[in-house]
Amino acid sequence: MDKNFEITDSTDWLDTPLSSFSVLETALRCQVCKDFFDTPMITSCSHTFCSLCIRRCLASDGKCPACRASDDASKLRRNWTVQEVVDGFSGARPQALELARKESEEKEDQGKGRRKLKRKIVDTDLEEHTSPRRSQRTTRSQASRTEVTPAHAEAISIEDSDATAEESEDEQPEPDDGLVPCPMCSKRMKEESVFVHLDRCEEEQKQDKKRAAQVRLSETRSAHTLPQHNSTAPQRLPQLNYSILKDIALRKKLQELGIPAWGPKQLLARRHTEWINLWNSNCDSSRPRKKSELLRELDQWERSQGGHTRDSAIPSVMRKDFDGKSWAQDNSDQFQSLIAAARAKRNQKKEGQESKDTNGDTEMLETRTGPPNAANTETATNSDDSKIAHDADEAAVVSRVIPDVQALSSIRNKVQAANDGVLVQETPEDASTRILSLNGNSDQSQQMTSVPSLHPGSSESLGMSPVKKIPMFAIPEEPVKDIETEQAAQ
Amino acid sequence: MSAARRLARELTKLHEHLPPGISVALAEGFQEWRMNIKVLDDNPIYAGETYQLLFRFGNSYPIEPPEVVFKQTPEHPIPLHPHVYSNGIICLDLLDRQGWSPVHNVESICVSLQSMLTGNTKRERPPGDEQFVRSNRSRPRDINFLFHDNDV
Repeated sequence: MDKNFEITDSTDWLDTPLSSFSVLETALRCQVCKDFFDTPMITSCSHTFCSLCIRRCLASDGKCPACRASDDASKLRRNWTVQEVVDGFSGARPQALELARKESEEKEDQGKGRRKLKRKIVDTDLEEHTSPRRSQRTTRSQASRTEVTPAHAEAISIEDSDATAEESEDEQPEPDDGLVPCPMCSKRMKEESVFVHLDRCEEEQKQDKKRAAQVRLSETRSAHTLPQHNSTAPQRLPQLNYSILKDIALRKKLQELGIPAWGPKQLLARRHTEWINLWNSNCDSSRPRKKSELLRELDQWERSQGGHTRDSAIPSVMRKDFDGKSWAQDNSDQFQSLIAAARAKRNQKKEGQESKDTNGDTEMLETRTGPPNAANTETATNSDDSKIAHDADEAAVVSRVIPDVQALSSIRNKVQAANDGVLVQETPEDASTRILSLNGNSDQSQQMTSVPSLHPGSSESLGMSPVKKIPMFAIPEEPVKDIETEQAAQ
Repeated sequence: MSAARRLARELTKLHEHLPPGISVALAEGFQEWRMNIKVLDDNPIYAGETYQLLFRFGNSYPIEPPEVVFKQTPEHPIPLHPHVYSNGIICLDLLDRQGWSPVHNVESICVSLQSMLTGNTKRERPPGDEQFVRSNRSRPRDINFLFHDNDV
C-alpha cells in the first residue's frame, strides 16, 4: 500500500473559518481519483486530470470523464501551471489547516468564556499604557490573532517589518566619511569620481539586474525542465491494436518491454494497456520514477485487477464480467453428479493403475470441465428460465476454451498416452455413466455409445463451434480424471 | 488500491456532509455499501417510504461503474417505477458502462436515483417485468439494457 493512507479531503475546511477554501481545494483535485492532481494533463476539451487517471479512462472508453467528449491519449498536454499551483497549495495546506483549526477552537473557547477574556484584554491595556510605542505593536498583533486568514497574519507581519525597515532607513544619518552617494544607485564614492561613475552607472545596473534575473529563472526552471533535457528521457510507448496482433506476437512484445508475459491473450492485452498507462504517465511526470518502481505498480495492479485477483484465477481466463456465482449455482446439480460419477470411477480405476498424470494442474481442469458441463446443462435442463444466463455462460465458455499453449500441449500429451491404449476402453463406459446419472435416460446413453459422436452433437446444439476445433473430444474421460486427481489432492 | 483510496475519501465526505434524504446504512470495507434514500417531496407514490440501495464496487472503480440495485428488506420495499424491476434491478444509463463516467460517485448516483423517483408519475413496473424477474439469473452488469426513455 501507499506510504500514507491518510485521507485528506476538501471537506476538511468546512468546520473552520476558512470554509471557502473547500471550493479552492476541490478545484485542485482530480475528479477521477479525488486526490490532488498528480502530473496534471489537459485534454482537448480543456479538462484537467491526473496523467494516470485520464490515461486509464481513455484506455477504457476513449471519452473525457467530465464532458463525455471523445478524446485520445496522444492529444493530452501537460498543464504545468496547475502542477505548480497544486504543489504550492498542498505544501501550504497542513499549516494553513492547522492554523484555521486552532482559530475555530479559540473561537469556541471565546464563546464559552468571553467575560474572562475581556478582563484579560483590559489588563493588558493597562499595562500597555506605560509604554505607548509598545502598545501599538501588541494591539496590532492582537488584531492579527483575531484575523481569520493566515494570509492576513503574514501580510501584517510583513507590513511591520517593512515599516521598521523604512524607519531605520529614514533615521539612518549620513555617515560622516567624506564620501557622497551616487544620485542614481546611491553608492558612496569620492566626490570627484561621481561624474565618471554616472556615465557607467545605468549600464552596470542593467547588467546586474539581468544576471540576477537569469539566476532566478534557472532556479525556477530547473525543477521542470531538467527531465526534458535529460538525454535518457524515456520515450512514450505507442498503443497497440490488439485485435490484429497474434497471441505470440503480443507475448513477444511484452517480453521486449520487460513485463510479465504469462496468461491468455486478453490478460496480456490488459496488462499491456496498464503498462502503457503507467509508463506514459511517468513520462509526463516532472519527477519520473525508475522502471523498477513502475514494475512494482504493475505488480500491484496484477494482484488487484490482473491475473492474481483474489477471487481465483478463473475470472482472468474468461470474459471480464463473467458471473461465476450464478454459473456455479445453475450447474450445481451437474457438478454434484459429475463428482459422484468420478468417485465411482476412481474406485474402479485404482486397481488398474497408479495415478498416471500427476500434472493435472488446475488450469487444465478449468479448460476441460467447461464444455462438457455446458453440454450437460443443455441436455438436462432445457427450461426457458436459464436462457439468459446461458447466453452469457456460453460466451464465457467459448472464451475459456481457448486455452494457453502450455495447457494445450499437456493435454495433447495425455491424448497420445490415452490413444496408446491405456484408457481407451474405459471411455464409452465413463461417458455413459455420466449421462445416465444426469438424465436417468438409458435410451440416450445407449445411443451415445461412442463418445466422439456425443460431444460434437451436443455442442452443435449449443452452437459452440470453438469446441469442435479442438481435436480432442476423443477423450472426454479427461474431466473425470482431473476431478479425481483434484479429489485425491483434497 | 486506487479504488479503496477513492472510496475511503468518498466515505469521509459522506460522513461529513450528505444531501437531504440520503444516508449511509452500512459501509464496511470497500466491496459493498448500503445507502438509504428517501423521496422528499410529496410524490404520493413514494411518500413516507425509505428505500435501500446496494452498491457493489469492483477493483477498477471508478473507471468502471459500481453495481447498484434496490435491496428489499422488511423495512425497505422496492420502489414502483417504470425503470425499476421488482427484483430491484435498475435500468439507468448512468449505471451502465456507456453512460458511466468516473466523475460520478456514490453521492451523485444516490441523488440521480432520488430525482429519478421524484420525477416519476407512473405507478407501474417496466414492461415484461414478471418474465424478466422470473428468468434473470445474471448480475446487473451482465445485462444489456436498451435505453430508450430520454425523459428520466
